[in-house]
Amino acid sequence: MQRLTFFAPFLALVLVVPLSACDRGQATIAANGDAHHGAKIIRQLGCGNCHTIPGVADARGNVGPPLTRIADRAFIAGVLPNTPENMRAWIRAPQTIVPGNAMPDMGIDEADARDIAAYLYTLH
Amino acid sequence: MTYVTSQPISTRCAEPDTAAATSFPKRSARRARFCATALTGATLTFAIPQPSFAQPTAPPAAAAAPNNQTAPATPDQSASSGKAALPDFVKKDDTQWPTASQNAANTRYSPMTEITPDNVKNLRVAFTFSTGLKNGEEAAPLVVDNTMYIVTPWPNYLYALDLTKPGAPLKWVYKPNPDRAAQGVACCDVVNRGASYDNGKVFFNTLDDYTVAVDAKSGKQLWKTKLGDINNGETMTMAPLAAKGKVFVGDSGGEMGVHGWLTALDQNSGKIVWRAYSTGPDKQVLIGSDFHPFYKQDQGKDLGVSTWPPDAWKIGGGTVWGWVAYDPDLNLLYYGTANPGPWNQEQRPGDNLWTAGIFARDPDTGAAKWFFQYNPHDEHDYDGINENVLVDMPVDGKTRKVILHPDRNGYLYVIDRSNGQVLQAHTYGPVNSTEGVDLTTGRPKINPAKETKLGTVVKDICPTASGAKDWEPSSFSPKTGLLYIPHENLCMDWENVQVNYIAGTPYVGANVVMKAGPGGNRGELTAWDPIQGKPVWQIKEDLPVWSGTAATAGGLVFYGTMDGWFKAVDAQTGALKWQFKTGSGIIGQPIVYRGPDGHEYVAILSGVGGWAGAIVAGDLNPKDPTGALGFVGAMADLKQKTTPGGMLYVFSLPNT
Amino acid sequence: MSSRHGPRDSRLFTYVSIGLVAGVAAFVAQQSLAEGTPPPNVQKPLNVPVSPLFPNGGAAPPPPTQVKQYEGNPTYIAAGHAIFDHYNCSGCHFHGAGGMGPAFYNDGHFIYGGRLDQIYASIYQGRPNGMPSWAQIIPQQEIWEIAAYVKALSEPSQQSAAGSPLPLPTPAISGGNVENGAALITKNGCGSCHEIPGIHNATGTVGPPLTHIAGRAVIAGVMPNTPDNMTAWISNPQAIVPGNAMPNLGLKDNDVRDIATYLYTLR
Repeated sequence: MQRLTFFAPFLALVLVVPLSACDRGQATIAANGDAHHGAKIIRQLGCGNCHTIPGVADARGNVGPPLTRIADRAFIAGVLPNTPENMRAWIRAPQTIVPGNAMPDMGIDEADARDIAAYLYTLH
Repeated sequence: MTYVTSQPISTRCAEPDTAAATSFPKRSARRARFCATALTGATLTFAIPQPSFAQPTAPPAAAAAPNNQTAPATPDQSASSGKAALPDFVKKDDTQWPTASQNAANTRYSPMTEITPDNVKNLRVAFTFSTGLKNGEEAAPLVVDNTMYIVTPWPNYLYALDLTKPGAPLKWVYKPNPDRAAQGVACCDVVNRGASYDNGKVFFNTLDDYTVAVDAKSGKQLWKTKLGDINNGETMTMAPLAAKGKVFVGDSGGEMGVHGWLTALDQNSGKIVWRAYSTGPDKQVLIGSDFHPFYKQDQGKDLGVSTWPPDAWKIGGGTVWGWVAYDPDLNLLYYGTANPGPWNQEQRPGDNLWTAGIFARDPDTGAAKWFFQYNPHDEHDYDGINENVLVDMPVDGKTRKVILHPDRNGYLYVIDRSNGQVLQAHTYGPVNSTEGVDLTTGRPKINPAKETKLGTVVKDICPTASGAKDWEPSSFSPKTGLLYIPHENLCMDWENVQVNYIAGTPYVGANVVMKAGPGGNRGELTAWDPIQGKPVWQIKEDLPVWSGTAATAGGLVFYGTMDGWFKAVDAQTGALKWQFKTGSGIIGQPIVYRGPDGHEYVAILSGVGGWAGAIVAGDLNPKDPTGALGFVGAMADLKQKTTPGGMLYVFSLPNT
Repeated sequence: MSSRHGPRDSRLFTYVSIGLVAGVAAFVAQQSLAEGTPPPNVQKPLNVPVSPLFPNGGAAPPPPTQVKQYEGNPTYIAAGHAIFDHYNCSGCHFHGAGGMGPAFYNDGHFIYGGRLDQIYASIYQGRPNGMPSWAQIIPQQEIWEIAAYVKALSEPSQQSAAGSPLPLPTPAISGGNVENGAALITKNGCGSCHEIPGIHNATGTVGPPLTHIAGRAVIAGVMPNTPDNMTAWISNPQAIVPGNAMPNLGLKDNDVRDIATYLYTLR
């Protein structure tokens, strides 16, 4: 029973991170979210029109930087340390962090931002 | 457990990256083992779907030594003893014009002799008729039973004029009310190329994908059948062929990722009898045991799938927006398929069957009998839809039933219409995109220097995307034995770009700029001897010759220029005998007919537009030469030379 | 669960199976993503008049706030240009000339109105004679960016911001030396923060990858990608986005030019 409790979070992790290609042996820590749903929102929102995003069909945009290995990146948008909270904040309101930058505020709510971040944190 | 930390966290699994200014939580060995097994399990079953980037295509395998010679010549080929002739099934005395191509052999030849090179200088306007529209008028008027029928560009009115009364007043007009949104998915102006008459009915197509049958006398609609969907990017612009109790129609939209087809409708009911797609599995292309293509590369199962990347055939084009011919003796229907889509060839490696080629089919069932591909894996938008003029001509001392086909790629093909064998392929204009047609395989030899590429501008490709000749149809005179070819002299620069398929939007993937070809004249009228395989005379024109031609027994050839001159030239010599300046550029098809009074009349629709005239019809801005798929680049001066406006002109000699 | 297999092996088996199931499920689910579902957070259409006629002395309502935010903004114009191509707008309108659709080199004369919100509305709603309705496909913020680009095309003074008619893939820097640029990039350790194709050991993940930087529409998220902006950024990033993670390296102008020249080979 004790072992089960110990392993429950890992179980949850496995169920929500099937898309990872990470071959270095550690699952993402950041996600408290549904990466699969995150990928879907990414597609719907057209993030791929500006960003190249591995694993998202037709996401070949070259307006902003590629999101390849975004999970490993030290900084978000050149100004924020890469943490889950910062990632969600950037996704939700980039204009408040770097006013006038090319990434628009898309009106994304907290739950969707968490899912998007969960997906992004699979990109090693 | 939660993982919140005030320090930046890297989520990498391996040893810390020495460059990064981060630190890592200590990991337990147990956690590491768990992680490894879980991830192994997941990754074993799932591969991240990668965006499907186009794979660069390998150049097609080189054919045998390039060869654009004719089949070995035999004696007795002089023009005086052996000339090409009209097929037997063509009515030799038909002084009417019952279908856009005049007859099923597509010869566009009138037996009328009243107007000659000597008296044509007296030709004057007999009457006119305004269509009231500003888009390109590409149609051929029809004349049947002393009535003239005209189909206009969108909104596709069908007008019937009473030729028995002075001034040819309007009998009736039929209005199909096509969806105005269709204008947004028509690549090359909202044109219509005319109607076809048979058994008391007039058949024509609307831009928004209907084929309509109208009673020829009353103008009443008999039936209206929907054949496609503008939300798929499909439109219809071609002139149907009504024959053998059926109406044969095809779609447009090769620049919109459409799935091309030819459809046969029953003349009485309007129901679809059969439909043959131009790409896809044999079942859809109506390829069965009767199919015997002449060349090896066209033999095999489901080639309309295997010569494409997976599923690319579904949006692969091969539309049928050009001319349909029919030989009732051989019982074969002939028509061409258009370019493969997208224009960016790197997104569709493979020969892309069955695009850019010619099909011969059984008209009753649609079953394919043979096929020949002019341009395997076309890279330059060389549609195969140009006219197939059926003539009988001596080849090696024997009379053969052949097709004369001036293709977009610049070669005049002579093809045996019983089996699809290419007998001859000589260039009728400047060509550098290929270096000859190998008659043993039928394939053109691709010039690697003119292959189109992603991110590179390939310069000076000849002929241009609209070809050495586009849809504008030639005519044949059995008196001279010559084919009168109206065409362009244009080249282009071309750059491939990645394109996404979004249904109902353009699927092209190329930036093109067109320009005048060698010599600077953008157009030409060529009189071609099909037996010798070379031109007899040529007339250079400043602007592309985008009108059709009509030849007469009286010894004249009629055609029009894009700045509005309607001309008559001597069929033997090419000498200009008469011209008249109409109100707008001419891109229509001239017809010749016997009026109710027994005299000869020549009719033409004036009204610039079409692909070549889009800069005027669409009021485009030449500052961006890529406009209108590159044509703007070659026609920056057209607005100075002509203005829009549709008008019918009918000419005759005085005292008629 | 007693057997000759130990408890550890049973857990291993369980976890791998779970991973398998989850992997397959996610794979299948992603493949069946509904096409054409509207973007989330779709707002009601704005009150944008198409006609200039307002009976009884009425007038147009004030323009929405987005007009001020997006109009004439070079960064949004650059983004809009890229998105314009992505959605095949260039397939009908080409790069200013027009074709199937009307020209945007039109001196501000649009059929359905040339104000930024009117252009936005035309894209969002579609128009009767063949302009499709994009509301269900393009997120609204991207429609504003496209509109900003289209409006820039229509105004002669802004056409240079909109970019040249022929979207050739690379801006060009004259007089720079590619080999020296590569050497400088290596020497200055750019690769410790950036992934840079063609530079040995340039695999850093502090900042964004510079793959395809030549074709990127926006530099550092705040400037259109032009040679001048590129050299300005490399020379003094702190002046452009104070406090950002990229330091000023104190490079000489010639060196900056060579570095930019190398970067513009990365198509």
